[in-house]
Amino acid sequence: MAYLIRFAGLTGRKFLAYADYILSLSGLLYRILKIFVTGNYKGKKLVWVGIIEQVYFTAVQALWIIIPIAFMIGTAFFLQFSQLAAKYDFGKLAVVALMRETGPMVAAIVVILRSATAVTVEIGYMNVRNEMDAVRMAGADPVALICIPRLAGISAAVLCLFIVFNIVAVLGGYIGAWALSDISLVRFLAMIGKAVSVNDILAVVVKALSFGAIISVVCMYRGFAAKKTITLVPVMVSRASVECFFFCLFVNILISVMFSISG
Amino acid sequence: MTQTVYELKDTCFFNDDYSLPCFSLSINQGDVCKIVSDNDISAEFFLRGLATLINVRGHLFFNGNEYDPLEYKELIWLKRKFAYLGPMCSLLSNRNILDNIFLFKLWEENKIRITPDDDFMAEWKRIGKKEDLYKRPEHVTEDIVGAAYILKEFLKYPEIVMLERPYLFTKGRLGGLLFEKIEEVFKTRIPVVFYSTTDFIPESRITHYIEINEDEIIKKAR
Repeated sequence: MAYLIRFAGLTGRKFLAYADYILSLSGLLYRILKIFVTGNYKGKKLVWVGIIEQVYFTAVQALWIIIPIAFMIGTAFFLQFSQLAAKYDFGKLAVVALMRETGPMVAAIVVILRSATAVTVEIGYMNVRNEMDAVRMAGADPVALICIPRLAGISAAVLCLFIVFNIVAVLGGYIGAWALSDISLVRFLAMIGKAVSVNDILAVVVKALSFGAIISVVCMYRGFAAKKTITLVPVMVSRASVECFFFCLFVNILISVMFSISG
Repeated sequence: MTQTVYELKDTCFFNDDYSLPCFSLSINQGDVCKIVSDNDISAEFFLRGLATLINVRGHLFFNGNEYDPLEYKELIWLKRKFAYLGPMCSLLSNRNILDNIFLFKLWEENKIRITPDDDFMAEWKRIGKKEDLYKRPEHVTEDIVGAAYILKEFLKYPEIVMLERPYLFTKGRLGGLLFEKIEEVFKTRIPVVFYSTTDFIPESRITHYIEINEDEIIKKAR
């Protein structure tokens, strides 16, 4: 009995702590979005430069990773599923499995591995080194100067990487496997074009924006949570990466279910 | 008649694991207040609270206008009016020295680049090379970083100067810079609040003491 009570208590405490964490993340996201949308800050040009830099770091510098990965996954997919082309709607299969499900998750994993860790370390060190105070003492708003570029930049970068992944996976996959397949490129593209619906495009955009928001907000929150303790920075990096992956996976399924139900 | 610049009524400074007793005091034009405390942590905490760098509860008045300490945007505007120098101060490591010095200007005037004027360049020549301005803090000497921080704070035309262990900024080749800036501050009667374990500011210049005890914080005339 005592064991059961302890177990129930532990579960309750864990649940409350988790709920508190999710609410805190939502609060941070709301605060950043409110300032971004209302434009209630002065140094807009500095913020836009920050967004462009973030897109460069997260999307452009990740192209050399995402392109070969997309190529390999596209080839493997095409090789495996082209054999089923006669049995199933191959175009729809490519759109749903490759473009709507695999692409977003692969892009998210690349961003988590490359940028999420970097953002957490950067924010963590800025906090430890009192650089946030330097921003505030200059009369600048850290939420606008530091957080908006990460949120907007990473979200835009994830969307760009989704698009690149899908193009490379479809075309590159076809090129990689054309010798082993009897489907012509024109037929293949026609199948894909016929299968893509507005719903699919919407799903991809919603996933990109959600993943971008999740990755940036979790990393910033964990970076800020390092407070003034330098030894907490690696701990927070580890937590942020795992949480980003878990949340993205969960939201991916959630959005897929929502769009599947809506048709 | 001396004008009150900064007034705190029933104010408390606190964070997750430390707090000071609540107090009321005003800082007037021409005041030079030395913080007296047998506890370094309390003195530093008080100065950081004064600069609204930690949690503040109570009533804050600056130049007669009340500011809500829970409204962080109002506090950011207020911080712009303070010059705060302390051992914990640093520059942004992902921006060059010039951007760091003029961050307030870049932000307020909505610019992405600043062209320093001749007066600034003449002053900078005494500190370092022109190229140093375009380097990040980790690529220049500690002297230059310290000098850049002093310039950053004093170029804001602050209305109150807060110094925490200022002697740390007076070491090395550029040690005289802070003394020069403080002299200018005295001439313009901008109030100064400082904590120092050395006689950084001579006793004769001090007008008030702010005593921090276990259960109260009081301002006394010298």
